[in-house]
Amino acid sequence: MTSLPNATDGRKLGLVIDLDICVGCHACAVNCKEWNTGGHSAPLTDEEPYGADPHGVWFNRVHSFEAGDGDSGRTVHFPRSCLHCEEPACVTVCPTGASYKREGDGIVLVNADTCIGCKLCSWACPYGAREYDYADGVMKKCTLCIDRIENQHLPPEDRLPACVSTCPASARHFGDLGDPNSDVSQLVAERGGYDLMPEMGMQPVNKYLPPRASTRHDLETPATPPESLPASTDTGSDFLNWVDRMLTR
Amino acid sequence: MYHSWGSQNAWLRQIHGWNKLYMNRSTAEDQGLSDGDGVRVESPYGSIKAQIALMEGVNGNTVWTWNAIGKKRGAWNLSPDAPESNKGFLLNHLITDLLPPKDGYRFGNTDPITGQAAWFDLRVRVVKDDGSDKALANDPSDSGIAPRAPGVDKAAERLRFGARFLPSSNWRRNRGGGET
Repeated sequence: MTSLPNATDGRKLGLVIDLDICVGCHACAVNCKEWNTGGHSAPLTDEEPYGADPHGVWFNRVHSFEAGDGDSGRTVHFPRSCLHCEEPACVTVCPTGASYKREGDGIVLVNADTCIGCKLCSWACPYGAREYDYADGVMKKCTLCIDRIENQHLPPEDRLPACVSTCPASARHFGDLGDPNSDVSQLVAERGGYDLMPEMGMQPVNKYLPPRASTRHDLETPATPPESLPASTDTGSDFLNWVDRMLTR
Repeated sequence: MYHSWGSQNAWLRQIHGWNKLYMNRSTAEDQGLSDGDGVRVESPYGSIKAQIALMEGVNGNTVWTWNAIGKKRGAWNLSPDAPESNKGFLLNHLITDLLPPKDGYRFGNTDPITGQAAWFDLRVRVVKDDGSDKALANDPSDSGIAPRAPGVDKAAERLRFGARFLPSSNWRRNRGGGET
């Protein structure tokens, strides 16, 4: 089977995803598909796109669910993509060497020219991050947008994964998690970022930031009205008086 | 999600191809409704069928859903068994765009200041669907299949957006029946 790189230079490129901020808009998933259907693993085939069961290749998917009952219930939006693990079973299980982890930065990739489509890697990955393309007969996955982050044709500020650059809430961050002084590492330290399912032993590089504690109790204290509301004045028009009342209450 | 504005977007309908009616869990359970039940939603103007999903994060006296997902069968060149036409529903049948006559006029059912359609103040009744009423506005068995519009080709069975950007020598470029 396929070996992991013996030595790396310490860089671990990955994502930090803030579950406190994500609103589940799917912009990251759609922009990921938009970029990558013309990128390293192009195309991202869609089967039955207008039929009863449309299903295509997506490198990034968002799951929304509720946790907790009654007033403690909250909606969680959970974006899921490859975590670029340090001990990726999807690589070690590969019989051809098509699935590999890069030495320099730890990004996990698939070589479509040597992949035989046996799908062992999708069984080995506990995170469901592998995406089989039925038309090409090969496995595909998140590339961390290697064709953006190293792309000399893009201005430096755009050399980010497509999901990070498009997130309207800035819930996604990209950087080197092997450097304890990087912005992403400090964010993880400050906010208690955690690994998904650490018991699986994959040592994922990507980290998730937990939702902060509910602030619902703050709402139980009535807001104090400002002391100096402008006194309503008679405008001489019933309609304008009504608008004035509506807007100042 | 207003998919229809993009002639039924092949990617967005994978994310959200049909909708449910979201109800507060305790309100629904007080009425004997369970998660996933089929219901009828009735307003003074019409009645539709829907499937409910129970949740905590909605006011007990409010129900909501994603809009503009339900479609007539065959509409937008979707296959007649598409979930949009068989599981999804549309709220429009419950809403009127005009208020009752007043002083000889019919005023629009809109917010008086912004003109925004007043979709958010409709009183509805939600009852468990007993299957007795076949004449509901969104019942697929009654609505027929919309014919394909003139000049529109049969919908693609596979999309390969981006294959054209691959070098002509790349084997992936011409796989899967080529790009549609």
